Amino acid sequence: MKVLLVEDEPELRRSVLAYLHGEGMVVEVARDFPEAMDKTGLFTYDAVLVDITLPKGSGLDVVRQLRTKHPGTGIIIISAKGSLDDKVRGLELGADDYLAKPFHLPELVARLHALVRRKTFNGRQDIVLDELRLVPEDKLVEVHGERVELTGMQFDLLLFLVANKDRVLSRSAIAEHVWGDHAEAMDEHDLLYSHMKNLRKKLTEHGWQDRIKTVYGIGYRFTTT
Amino acid sequence: MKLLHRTALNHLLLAIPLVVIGTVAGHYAVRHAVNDELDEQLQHHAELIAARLAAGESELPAEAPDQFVQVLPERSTGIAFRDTLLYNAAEEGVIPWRMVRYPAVGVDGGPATVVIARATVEYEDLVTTVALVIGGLLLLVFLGNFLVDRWLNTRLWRPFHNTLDQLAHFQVDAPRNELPRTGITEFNAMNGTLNAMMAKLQRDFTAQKRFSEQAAHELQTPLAVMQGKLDELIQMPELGELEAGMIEVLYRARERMGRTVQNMLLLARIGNMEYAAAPVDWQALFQDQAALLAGLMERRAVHFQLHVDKRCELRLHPVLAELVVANLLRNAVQHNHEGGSINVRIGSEGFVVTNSGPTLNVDPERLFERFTKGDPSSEGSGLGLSMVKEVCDNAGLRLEYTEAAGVHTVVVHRTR
Repeated sequence: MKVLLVEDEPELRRSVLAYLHGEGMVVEVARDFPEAMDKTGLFTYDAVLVDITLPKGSGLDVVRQLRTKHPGTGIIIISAKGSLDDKVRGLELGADDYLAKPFHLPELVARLHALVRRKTFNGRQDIVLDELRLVPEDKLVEVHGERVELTGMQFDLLLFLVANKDRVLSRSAIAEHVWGDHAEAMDEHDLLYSHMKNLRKKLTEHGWQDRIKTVYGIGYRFTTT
Repeated sequence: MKLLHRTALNHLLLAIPLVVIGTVAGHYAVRHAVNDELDEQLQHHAELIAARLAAGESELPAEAPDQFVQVLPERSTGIAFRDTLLYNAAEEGVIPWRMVRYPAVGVDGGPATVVIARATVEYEDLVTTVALVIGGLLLLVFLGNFLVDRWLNTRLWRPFHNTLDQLAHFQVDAPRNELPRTGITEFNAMNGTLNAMMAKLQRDFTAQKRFSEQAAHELQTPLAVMQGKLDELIQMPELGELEAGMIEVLYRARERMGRTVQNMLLLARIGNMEYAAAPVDWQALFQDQAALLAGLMERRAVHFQLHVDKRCELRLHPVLAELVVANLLRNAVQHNHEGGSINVRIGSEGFVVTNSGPTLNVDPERLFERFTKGDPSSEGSGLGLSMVKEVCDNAGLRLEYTEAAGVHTVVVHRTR
């Protein structure tokens, strides 16, 4: 997957770059508005991450140019301004998703995967990890070809873990992904723990070899190796 | 009542008594004049007859259908006029007459009274006609006046109505046209003042909005950097228990700060009225938020019930509606006790959230203030309920909290 990151804050750029590299993605960066316009004008990407507030211009214009030149490219706006206008206008201009800063890197990865799946495979792409098979479009999970009934939340949780396989996920990243703003109220860790336990139980009951590892004091990891 | 209708009504209320009084007064004035004239004629006639009597002529003028003359051998003290009713053959009925009694000396030298009467039927008709003409003229004058006034008012008040129209469509975040100059000084003054007010409102709005955007950018960017580094950090192999503990604390602090910043910016935006109202599916909203909190409710064995009496018509921006519902439900779960309950009732004019729970150690009056927390060590931002309050105040909704015997009730209702 080839991704362009348009972001002026160097440290944040470095983090995102490193994290996406770790996911095996090819990432290019643009530091300001002219660079973003040049790169999006010349090259084609699977997905572009655009900050709205850029030196020498607005990320919204980058979105506009991308939409006319490369309609197939997935666009995610990452903005710290948090003003509603930007979100609405960005989506109106044709951005596919909006992620407010500060965000968890695993959340960004999950959204990127979902976006590219939607754009390139029309959402119809199975994720197969040995005996486990997920069809995100239908919220369907199978173990050894046998359907596992999961709740919506359990499915979201599993998809989030799978999208970030082999990475350590902090409890707060998971909680925020699953419960959104209510994550605040869930800070009793055992709620996430029991949620995770139920998911693992449902899957292992169908003969799945548990690949979810607890990382002591920090969170969880879905391992494939 | 419209200004125009109010003036018209006042005109009418004034015109009716004036026309009536004018007609009646006209009637009496004309009648008085006619009587004076008649009396003069009758007196002349009587003088003439009295002179003839004095000259020894006893022959009286022939009777006419509308006049009769009599000489009575009576003494009378002076000239007396009066109205009377007598039968008249020509009119075949009793009709009004004007009569004079005039003292004279009879042919025989004895006292005599000349009585002359004249029918006044045609004069009555005249009087009535004249009175009606007066009334009619008055009515015409009033009607004319009214129409001219109405036309003038419509014309004169047009700039005012234009101004009202533009004010009704004023939006603080949309471009606007200056209110125009008119030919009327008062309206010019009003439009000038309103122009200045709207310009200030828009300037303040833009400045406030720019400030909250800049503040957001300056606060959220470093938070994003922190978050990114933490997410990277936990990927390091061989993190010990000590490091894990510290990272855990950092994560929580980062989150808490992020929430506070986010909520404070949201509060600033609500105060700045950046959110336009729209219809809301409150039932779906409560169901969705309750589903998100289902895990927490289950763990605390809190029973949730949603009852919809009627579709709720309250309008709010979707983001704000979610904020209100999410905060109220979250509070209802958090401040509940094990095995408690939450009841939501939705009606057309608002909704009520009731929950069981221990009595708060916070003054209910202060509950909606910023940074008020039931438990000071709680990691909540203390801004949740104050945001609900701010949203309700700005949307013109009434927000009430009451507590009785461990039952907490929050009402969100349209204000009358």
